[in-house]
Amino acid sequence: MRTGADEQTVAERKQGRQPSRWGIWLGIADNSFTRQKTVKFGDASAVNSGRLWSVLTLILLILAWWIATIGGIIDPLFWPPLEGSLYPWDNPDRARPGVVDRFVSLFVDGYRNISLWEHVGTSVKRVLLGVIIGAIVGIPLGFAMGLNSVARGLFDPIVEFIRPIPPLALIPLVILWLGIDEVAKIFLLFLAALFIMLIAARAGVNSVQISKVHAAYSLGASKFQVLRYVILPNALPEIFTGLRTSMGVCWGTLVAAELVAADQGVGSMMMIAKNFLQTDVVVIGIIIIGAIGFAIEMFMRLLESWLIPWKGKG
Amino acid sequence: MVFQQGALFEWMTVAQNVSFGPRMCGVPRARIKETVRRLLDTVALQGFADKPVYQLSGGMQQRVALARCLANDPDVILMDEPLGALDALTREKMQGLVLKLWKETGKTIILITHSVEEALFLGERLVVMAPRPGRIHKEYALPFAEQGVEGDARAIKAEPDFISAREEILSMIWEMEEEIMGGADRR
Repeated sequence: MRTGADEQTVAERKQGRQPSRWGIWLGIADNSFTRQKTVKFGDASAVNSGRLWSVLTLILLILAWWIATIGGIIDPLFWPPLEGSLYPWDNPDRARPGVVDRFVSLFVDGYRNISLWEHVGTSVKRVLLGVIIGAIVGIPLGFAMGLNSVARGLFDPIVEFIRPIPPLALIPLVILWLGIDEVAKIFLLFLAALFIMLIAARAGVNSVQISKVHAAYSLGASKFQVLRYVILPNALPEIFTGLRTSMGVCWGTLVAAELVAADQGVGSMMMIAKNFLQTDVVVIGIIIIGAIGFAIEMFMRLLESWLIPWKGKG
Repeated sequence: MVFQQGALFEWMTVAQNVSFGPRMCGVPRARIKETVRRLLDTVALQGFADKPVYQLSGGMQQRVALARCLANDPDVILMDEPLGALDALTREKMQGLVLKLWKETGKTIILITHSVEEALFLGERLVVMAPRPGRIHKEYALPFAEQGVEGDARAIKAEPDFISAREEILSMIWEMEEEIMGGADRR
């Protein structure tokens, strides 16, 4: 029998062994779950975040950048220095602002009379519009194709034919039909998102366990109620995966689309900068694209764990 | 209907699962609330109304399934191997619950099972099915379910009558099995 005092010491000991939250986040401390693993190598679930190493990589990369570009060892045309030419031994002809200075100036003054926020905002807005319209059209279409043979038969050849075509290959046609303004770009993104969403919704419908549908019907649900309360929530995880994928694909497509024809947006900013040999602006554009893509993915994951807590637990 | 495991709606809470039938049929909200409370009482899940079902153990999930089925107050309940995926102890407990529900509600329950013991213990009428083509092989009328409502489950299952009936049916099924397998060999 355990006495009350015993119990307390056990609890206290547990407390003492509990690693800090920062330790777990960084991946230095094994949490109690990983410590219970019998093997450390070969069990993928025993691998922790390893964020300490991520932080280290980041620092090393920046350090390498800084060292490599000190005093103009590398021509800023090929790779810009991290910071401006602060060193008196620099060749004054080569004096250029570094990436940090340029970033600050972009932030404060903007690029070609358009603020950095507007460039980024325009790009993000285009992606969101493309994905949202793609989802609004694609999800019902995917549901119809998953649930109805006529719909499947009607749309299957069209979908399977257009789907493998990269959206960028359609740019010439889209420009011919819709011009080069907002509508054309959003239409291109819409196409990219549409097929991903359609296929995700269709897969979601197919993944529904038939016993759940049977259960709902046997409890007196109508067709519409089965769709609304069983098939739709069952397809949500797949739909969400589709949203994540199409966000990523659209973000990539958008920048490419902006490279072709646009006067606003991160891609166009880079394209104009290229024409003026402003490598630092190009590099900043690359960093911004990566960072925003990363942020979108993190946000979607957060949203997913919040909206679909039952994912994978059926 | 009560299915094998996996037919609960994992995006709903326990209470939402139980109230699914009445909600779909447009029963007034106050009455649904009352039904849910009563049924969760019956299956001993009072404190779990707002828990998501995926946090429950297998036995608890099947009790939710029973309650969900009862919520519509059906005349006949069809149970397709409802206890098949449970561990032995939970299974015996659930057998007691099924008997209790049967007695209290007075509903006709058709229960399909692979366990001869379970069939003997729960059934008033026992139908042994034969495969290929599926047909009724033999029918029995049994006293054990009636006894089980009042008496001790373990004692009933240890009775000589119970054991001899179990052995009779088991050997019958074995014979059937051999016939089929033998036929497959000859082919």
